[in-house]
Amino acid sequence: MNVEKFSYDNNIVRLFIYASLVFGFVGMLVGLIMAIQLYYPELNLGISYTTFGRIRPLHTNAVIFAFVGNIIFAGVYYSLQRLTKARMYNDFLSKFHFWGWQTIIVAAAITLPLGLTSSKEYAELEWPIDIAIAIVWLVFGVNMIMTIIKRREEHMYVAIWFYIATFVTVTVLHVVNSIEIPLTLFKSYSVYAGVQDALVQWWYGHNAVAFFLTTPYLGLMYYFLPKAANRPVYSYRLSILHFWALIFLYIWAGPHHLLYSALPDWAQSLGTVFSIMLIAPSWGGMLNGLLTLRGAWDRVRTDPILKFMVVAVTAYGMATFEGPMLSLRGVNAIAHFTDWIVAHVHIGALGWNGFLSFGMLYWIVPRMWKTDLYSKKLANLHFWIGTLGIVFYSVPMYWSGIAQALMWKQFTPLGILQYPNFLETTLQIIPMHIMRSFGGLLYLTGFIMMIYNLAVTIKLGTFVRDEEAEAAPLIKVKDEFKRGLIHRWLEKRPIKFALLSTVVILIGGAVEFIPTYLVKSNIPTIASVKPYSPLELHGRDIYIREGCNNCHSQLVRPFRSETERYGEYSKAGEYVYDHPFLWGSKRTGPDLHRIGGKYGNLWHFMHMEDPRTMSPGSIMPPYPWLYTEKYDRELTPKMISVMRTLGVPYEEGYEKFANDDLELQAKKISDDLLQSGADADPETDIIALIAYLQRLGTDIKSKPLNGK
Amino acid sequence: MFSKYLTEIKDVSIFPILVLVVFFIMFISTIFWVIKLSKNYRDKMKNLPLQEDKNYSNNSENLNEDK
Repeated sequence: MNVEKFSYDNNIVRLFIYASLVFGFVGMLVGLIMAIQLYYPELNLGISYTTFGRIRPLHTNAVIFAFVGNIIFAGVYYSLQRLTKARMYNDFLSKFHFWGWQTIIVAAAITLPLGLTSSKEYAELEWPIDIAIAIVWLVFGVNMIMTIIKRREEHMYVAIWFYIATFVTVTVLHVVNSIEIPLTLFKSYSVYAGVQDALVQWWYGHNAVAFFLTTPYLGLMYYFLPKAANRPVYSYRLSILHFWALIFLYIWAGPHHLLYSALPDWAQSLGTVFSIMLIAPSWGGMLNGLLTLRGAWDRVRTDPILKFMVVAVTAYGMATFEGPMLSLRGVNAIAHFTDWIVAHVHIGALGWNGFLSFGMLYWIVPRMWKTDLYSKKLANLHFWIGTLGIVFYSVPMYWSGIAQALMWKQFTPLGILQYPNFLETTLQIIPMHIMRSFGGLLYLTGFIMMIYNLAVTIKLGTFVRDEEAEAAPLIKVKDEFKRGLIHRWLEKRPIKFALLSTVVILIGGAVEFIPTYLVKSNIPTIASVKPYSPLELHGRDIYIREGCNNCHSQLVRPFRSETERYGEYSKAGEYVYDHPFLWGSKRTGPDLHRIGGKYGNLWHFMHMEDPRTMSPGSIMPPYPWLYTEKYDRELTPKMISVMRTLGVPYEEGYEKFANDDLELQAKKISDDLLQSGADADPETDIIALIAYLQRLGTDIKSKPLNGK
Repeated sequence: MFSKYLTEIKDVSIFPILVLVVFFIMFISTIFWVIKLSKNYRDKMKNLPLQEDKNYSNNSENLNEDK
């Protein structure tokens, strides 16, 4: 038979590996700094760019999209070429993908500390960067699909299915969640408001975990685990079931992030049901991975690569069991908003994503540089120090999460809150946070050891840029297999396969969104809920800029322990003008939905300047720049117009008078402060922020809601 | 309270049935595919990742034991 000679592009794999090492280090270092800030807030050095609220998205974006993202691309470019027996379709597209993605990361690293953020978790980047992401992602997809079309191997291995599903789903998620109307070059407002925004965001957020941190990694698992173990995957049948069931079920589960929220009950229940069902495919995949090692377990004792992979797959199993448990209402009532969720996420992140990445890197680098790994001992040490790091990270966080929840909900025999001051519950868990940061330090140390180990390996080896290969071209022959025609028909046709995957993932999204939009017109509107005043809008933008939502929720759940502490529980109708919603997902500090009117203006003024003057021992950093920086009044008319475009009922022509109202309100606040002895310029940020905070939750605060 | 809005959708009762049918078809057909797959095919697919890299003796025996 006629055999074609070609070469695999190793250079692009190398580039992505280098990038993942650099950004992995940066992302984890930022994580460590944040963790320390939670008990030593002075670590921001008094600079606005390094406060917790601004670097928290930097950490999440860096580890998810920079570290994990680059690992995915390295793994996909390595395995796809070999599985299809073809070079990547176009070298220019590969390069464009690489440099485009790195540019986006750098743009994120600059804009996030500057406070340019959309506030939506894992989608914080502003609209010009969103557009760049869409373009670069499409280039990746086109390059991948064209490579598959030009393949020399007739059948698509299961890993490739996971890559295709990743591509199509992330495209849909990113586009739908990022629809926003620009205000300036780096500021935009989400087109969705309140409850709908929350639903779209957590449909996205949950599936960012599913289709960025899980499906591509499952593809990598199905390729690299058999390679490392030198034996085929345990069951190919199971892998097919795993794939279709997983992508079908995952897309529905997003609302479990919004249990007990103002989201309609049916949507919450849907999220719970599908989360429970997800155990089946997730564990099917985990077992398929672990059983692949049958007969090779003796090697797990000595081979660091297999050790990393076994712990990774086990962590996947643990996290995917815990996830469904957390989506049960009873468990969620305790765990939500606490450190428990942080622990849960990091079992997946540090264990599954981190360890699978490390195993893959230790396997791939010696092969690409045609040498042996420099030090197996060091790799083993990395494994143990990393595992200890995960334990030191997660155990204290579980402990502190449960401690927090119990303290928030504890009543005295007389029926009043035992810990009415939120700060008490914060101070209680500080020792756990210290231990957690030690765990993070261990994990980072292991990562640095790996960088050293790989760097020496690379130095000792010789890199082969283009690896020679040969294979027969693909010619249409009658299928040699007799049975199972439907599925084989499908998996030989990448485009149809991609389309079917898209349909499968769209079903879940459609079922959740369409009724929520039908409900839109019917959402129990509350007559007393009015649009924000111009000054409050500015204050809200400052709240978003400083990332307050990273530590403070704006969602009082309908529990007595919460209504006692914060006030009336939150209603869907209160958020109709919130573009974007700011419910938050974590209460490092107390909920703020009913903060309006709780304290005087002076309290906020003093508190933002140095939180410890009002709350001794507080871990919130001071915000001195709010007292000198000025909000941009010239932007007010445009803000009003954009909001009106989004459906907020400001009267026609109001933008012309908006600044008059703004001045009036600002003067009122600064006069009030002056009376109390605090001299504040009405044009500074702090005035707008106070206006916003004092407004929060006041629409229905004094009046009970009729009939509801 | 949202059941009220659901009842306002025309022919709302068809949705649960439709969803059940979609699920049923989805899972049954996947299982059907899987069962029908021949052993030859499964073996070929399983071994796809292990075919290449012939000139590199597979795996961790190549790790350096001394360091």
